[in-house]
Amino acid sequence: MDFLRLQDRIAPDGLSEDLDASTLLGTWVSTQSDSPGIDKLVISRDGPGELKLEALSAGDQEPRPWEAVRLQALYGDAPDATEVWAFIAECDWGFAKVSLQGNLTQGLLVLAIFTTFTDDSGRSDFLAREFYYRSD
Amino acid sequence: MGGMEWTKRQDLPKSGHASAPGLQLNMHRFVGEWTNTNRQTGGVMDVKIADRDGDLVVRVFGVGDPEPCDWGETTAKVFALGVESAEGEAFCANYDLGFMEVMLQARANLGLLVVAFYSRFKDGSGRADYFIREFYRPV
Repeated sequence: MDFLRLQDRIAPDGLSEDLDASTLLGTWVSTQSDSPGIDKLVISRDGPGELKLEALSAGDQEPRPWEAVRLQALYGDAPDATEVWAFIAECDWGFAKVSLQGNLTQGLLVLAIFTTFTDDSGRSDFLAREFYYRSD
Repeated sequence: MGGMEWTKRQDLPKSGHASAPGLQLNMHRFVGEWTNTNRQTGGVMDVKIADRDGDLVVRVFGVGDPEPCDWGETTAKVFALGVESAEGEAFCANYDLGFMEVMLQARANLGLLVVAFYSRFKDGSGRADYFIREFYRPV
């Protein structure tokens, strides 16, 4: 088994089945009551082995729903993990690309939101981090 | 806001205007040699970062057996903390190492470099893709 760090190696009997994604499923609400970013996330199943994420961001007057995006990569916390611990999802809005990188910790979902502008508006590409608690 | 499109309020500059297009973010806080705060780690022990003609170049050394594993160099993409900021706050970098791909997500925080590694195996070994976060101090 190839490795690039000792932690990449596992015992032959340590191989797991597919990761259990139920750890992510549900509705997650920002710990910031007036978040300027994403207020709420809903993660649900979207066919066999697939998960989708629906986000609701802060708008001017009303919340702004995002189109659902598929979680394109799911991660455990070790090579012999059995449960999902983190994910990556990508959105292309035309004027900006957004990479959503989430992980679970201490009962919270920590989301790093990397926004890359593609519209020559002069805005800096930026990172925002937010914390979500499970509301259901 | 000058017709700027947005998906969340934080996409809009509070001043109503943004910096000049093509502005280079300041990367100085990342540049240097960083070593893991956990000397017993089985993950990545050292990270070397250079500003090479405006590119942020990252080189990673995994804990090997017995020698360190040099992952080689890759160029990172830098992100600010907000749309009006010119200070680099975080970066992302990708490695394709043949049997696995690793995406690094790093940010500077309280004098440390906090690095999240998203590792995906491509070798059919049955290992689970995994996420791990480690902390690095300046050497």
